[in-house]
Amino acid sequence: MHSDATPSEWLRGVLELCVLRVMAEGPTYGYAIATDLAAAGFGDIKGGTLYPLLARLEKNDLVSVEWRAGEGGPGRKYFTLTAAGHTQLESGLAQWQVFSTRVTDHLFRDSTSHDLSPAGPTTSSRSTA
Amino acid sequence: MNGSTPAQTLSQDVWQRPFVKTYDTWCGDFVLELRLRDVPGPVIGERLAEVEGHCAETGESPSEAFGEPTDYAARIEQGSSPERVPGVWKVAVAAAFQVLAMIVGTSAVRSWAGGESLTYNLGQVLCLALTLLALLSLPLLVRRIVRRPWTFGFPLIVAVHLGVAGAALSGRADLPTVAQLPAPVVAIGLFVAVLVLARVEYRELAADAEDDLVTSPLTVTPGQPETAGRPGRRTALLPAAVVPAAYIALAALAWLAA
Repeated sequence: MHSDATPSEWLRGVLELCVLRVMAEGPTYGYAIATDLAAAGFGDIKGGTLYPLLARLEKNDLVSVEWRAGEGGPGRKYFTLTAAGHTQLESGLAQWQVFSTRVTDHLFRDSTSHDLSPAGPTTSSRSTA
Repeated sequence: MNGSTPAQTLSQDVWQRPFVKTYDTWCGDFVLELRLRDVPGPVIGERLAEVEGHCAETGESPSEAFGEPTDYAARIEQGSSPERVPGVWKVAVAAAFQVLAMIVGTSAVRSWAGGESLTYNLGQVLCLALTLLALLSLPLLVRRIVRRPWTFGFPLIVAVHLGVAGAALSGRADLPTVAQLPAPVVAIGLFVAVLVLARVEYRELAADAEDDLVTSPLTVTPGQPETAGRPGRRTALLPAAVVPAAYIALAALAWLAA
């Protein structure tokens, strides 16, 4: 059986980068981040996973925080990327590109079967000559 | 951690919030675990507000969204530099010496009433030293005592009682006397020492209570009380006054029984 769900151990390594990427769009809060990630196909990110990560970002001064009165709710804690947060995101994106290319190249280096080919543009071509 | 700005200056004791009342077991365990990790009150309030805000949006219960409260408390504070509640050691040491002073001082009153000097033999001194050590270990063991009271709390209580009982029994044993002191001087001197230590405790406890209230940065629900005043000074008075009051009561009993 084929599943689209991202293995949790893969997600653990890149969740911080994905959260920083969500924050690059502007100030946001925990539930909105979880919704955004779910819409992007990362599945249901539980509060117990998300908030410790947000606390770490706050502690490392990658985000600034502000409590705002809630719209119908009790209140929301908004997170905004700081300059250090933007720098971290940019360096993370560059590292991810190198890493993901390296992994893809490795995984599909001797691919001769369609079963192993990724669905994207890196599909290896076979000579028909 | 860097501070955040509350949405408004109004703050509410978290225990007044309907959410905390609804999930009191989860919230109580969460706050207790953070307290045991020496997380300051305002930070605890903020952590609890994150949980409440998230659950209000998702419609989940705290255990569904965040799992076990003790595990979550450990994860959320992982890597945070512990911001020890100031003065906790000062209060613990003052309290330990107060109790010891009360034990010695009230037996001095008994000797005084009987017109004798206060004498201590080697066994009594060793037992009192054991009692003092057991009392001083309390702040180190408090987390374990709360989690496993029978494994850690009960033996500690037994150790304190054994120390006191051992000191009383050693008094009857034929052991070399190591100290002979004028009973009135010891009784009055130690009472003054207990009062001075009570003053130290009161100042520390009052300051901690002022700074360490667990308040929520969330909007106060209409009809719910806000934080009512600052109970710091009143709540600090009772623990600071307990030992001096007990000293007087026990000294009176010792005098009457002599």
